[in-house]
Amino acid sequence: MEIKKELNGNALTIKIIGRLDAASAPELSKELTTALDGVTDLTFDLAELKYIASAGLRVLLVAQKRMNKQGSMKLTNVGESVMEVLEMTGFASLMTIA
Amino acid sequence: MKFSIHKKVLMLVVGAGLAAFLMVGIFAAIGRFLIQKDMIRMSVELGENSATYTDKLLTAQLKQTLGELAEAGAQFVDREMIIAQGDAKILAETMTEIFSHPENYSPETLPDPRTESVKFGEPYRIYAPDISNNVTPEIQHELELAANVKDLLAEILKTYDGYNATAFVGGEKGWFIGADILHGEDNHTDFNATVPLSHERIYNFDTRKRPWYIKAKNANAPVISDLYRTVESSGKNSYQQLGASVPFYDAAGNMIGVAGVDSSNEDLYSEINRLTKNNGGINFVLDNHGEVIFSTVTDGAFAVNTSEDLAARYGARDLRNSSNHSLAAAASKMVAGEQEVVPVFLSGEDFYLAFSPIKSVGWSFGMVVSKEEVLGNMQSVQNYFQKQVSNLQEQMRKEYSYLNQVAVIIPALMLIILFFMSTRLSRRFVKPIHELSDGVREISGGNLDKKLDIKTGDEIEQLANGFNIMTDELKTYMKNLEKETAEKERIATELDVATEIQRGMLPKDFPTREDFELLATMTPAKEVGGDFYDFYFLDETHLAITVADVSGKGIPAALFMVISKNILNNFAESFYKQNGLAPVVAAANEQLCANNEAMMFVTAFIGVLDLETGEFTFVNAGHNPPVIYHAEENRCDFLDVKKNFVLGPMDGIPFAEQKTTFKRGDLIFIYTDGVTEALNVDNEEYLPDRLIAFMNSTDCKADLETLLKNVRGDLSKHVGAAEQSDDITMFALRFNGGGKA
Repeated sequence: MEIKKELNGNALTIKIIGRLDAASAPELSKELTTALDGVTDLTFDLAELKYIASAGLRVLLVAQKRMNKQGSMKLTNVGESVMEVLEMTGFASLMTIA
Repeated sequence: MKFSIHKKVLMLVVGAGLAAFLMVGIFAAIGRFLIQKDMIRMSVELGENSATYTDKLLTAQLKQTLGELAEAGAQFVDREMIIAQGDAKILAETMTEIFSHPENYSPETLPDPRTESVKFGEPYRIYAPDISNNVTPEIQHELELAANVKDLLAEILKTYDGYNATAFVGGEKGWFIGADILHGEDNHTDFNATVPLSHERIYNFDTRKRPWYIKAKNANAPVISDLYRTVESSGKNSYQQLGASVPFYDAAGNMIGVAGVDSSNEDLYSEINRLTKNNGGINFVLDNHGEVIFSTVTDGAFAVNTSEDLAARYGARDLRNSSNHSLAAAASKMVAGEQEVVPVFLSGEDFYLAFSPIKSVGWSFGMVVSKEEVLGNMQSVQNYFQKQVSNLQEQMRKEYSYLNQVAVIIPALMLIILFFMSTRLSRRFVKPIHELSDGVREISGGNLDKKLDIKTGDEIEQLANGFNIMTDELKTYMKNLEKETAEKERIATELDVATEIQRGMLPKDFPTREDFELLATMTPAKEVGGDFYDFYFLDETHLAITVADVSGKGIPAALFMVISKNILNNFAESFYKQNGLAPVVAAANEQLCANNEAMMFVTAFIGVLDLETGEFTFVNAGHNPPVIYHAEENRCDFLDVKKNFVLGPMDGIPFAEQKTTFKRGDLIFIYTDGVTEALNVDNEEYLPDRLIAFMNSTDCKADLETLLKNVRGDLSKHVGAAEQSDDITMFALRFNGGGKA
């Protein structure tokens, strides 16, 4: 997995590339604990995310919960397979998917 | 063969040294050999050249000396002849003067040896035999006129003291005036002694028949006579002689007679011998006819012919006609007036013949010297040189022998020194390596505190330093490793605990009943996930089942699993009957959300089967849709599930409850994402499509153990050698009740 961040004022775009599974989720989780400070507009660009596991979903969930307090969060460019998982687990109805 | 570095260095140094010595030795030997060869060759050449040079030099010197001697001899004879000729000319001129002006002279008388005794040096008169008894007054007058020369005659003859000589004048008419001298033992003439005149001389002497007279008369000019004998047949007065004679004339130019002097050739020759000191050799004079007229020998080719027969003599002893070609050639050159030194071969011996012309008379003076005698000296010189050269060669041989010994001994000594030095050198060279080796052995024995202390300043020191650094790093690494190992052990223990918890939670006693069959397997991944399954009876006819997957892994996941399982179990047993399944799930969610700061969540499929009717009530909380097998149609498809949110993170959300009815033989296959998302080595997922396709192809009427085994087999085929990435849970429930068959 590879993470690319782009901060524009209070808006942060995080691009996740590759597989977000149980092994790589902790890395993203750790990244987010500091990266989200002062961010009011968080966007996850999932265009190149190939796979998301439950552990990855949990990281998104943590981010969503935090952003609920300090701003907003959305998912963009969600691919088909990832979208299936999001729908199956009910995340699709809970999160803003653009 | 294996050698230690010590031996290798030793061999290298000794080998290199040996090779160098060998090379130098070979070159030196070759050089020595060449020089020796050259030296010997040069010394031999030197000897030969010296000998040859000496030979040439000596020959040249000999020739020159011989030539000079011959020239001196020739000059001597020349001078003697010139003197004799001069005396003869004075006499002739005086006679011409007397007969040109007879009026100036009065008649003189001279003793007649027939009647008077005559002393040496005293002029006397003789008439030829044909006129001695009939002397006309005219003849007597001419003689008495001629007698005016007597004083001059005596004076001139005196200058020949030491020779046997005669001075004379003779008239054409037959008269003769002469004076003789004969030297005694003391080489001087006793002028008071009487001349022993013989009969032949007094009575038979005819001046006009003497060789000197005939020659001068015929030539009508001054001549040097050929060799002739005195008129005496024996005694001291009989000797070979030669003389100079000149005709004289009267005023009208008519020849009156011939005047001359002659002397013994032996006397002349002894004088030449004295002069040239040619002892052991032969001196001779060759006249213009090629005849020997003086000689130091009395026999052989160079002896003077003493034959009386003058006519027979001419040409008979001409050396130019000699059968000896070398001699004949030399004689020709001599007669031709040349000056040279030539080799001649006489009676089996080599000689040098030096000759020089006697210009006044056209003769040639010759000297013959034995080559052997002269070259005897030369041979000794040659021998001397050869001896010197052979001495030199012997000396050189000794020196070379000595040199050869030195050439062997010195390299041998140096090799010994080299061997010892290289032994020491290689020991010194190898010592730090041994230290290094010992130190490294100690380190490898476990003593990481050992420090190599090698200060050689070279690569070995660098190596030792490298070892020290390595040891330090090894120490640090081992410390870290210990720490990491402890940590890993801790984690492993933790994982083991989690696994134990997980395993302990799962029911293993599957009921054996007629109305349904149930079988589940859970294969945990290496790093434990949070899959779990559960089943329990809510009452006699209701079987509750749960298949769930907790997010995350390790202890937290395991604990969350325990909580989830218990909560679901508790709430289901508490109020499913009153409120249905959805409120149970909602209530459980509420409970799980409390204090869930970590945002753990669980996907779950929860169902309740009415064993009498086959009615199946279920809630799908974010879980994978199960596969349903319709026995009547012998077909599998995915259960159409409502997509509820997962349990745990969000409270106050509703959950939709669904119902379906199982017919007899229908089967539900529930699984976790460990099945559909199983990866092969190419990171490709197994995927729901393959699962449903396989389920449709396999025998779903088989007993559950076989069925699960088959599914597991197909999954394994896909995964291959790839490592299991997630827990794999498979749960199958077949309904066999309702409307008994």
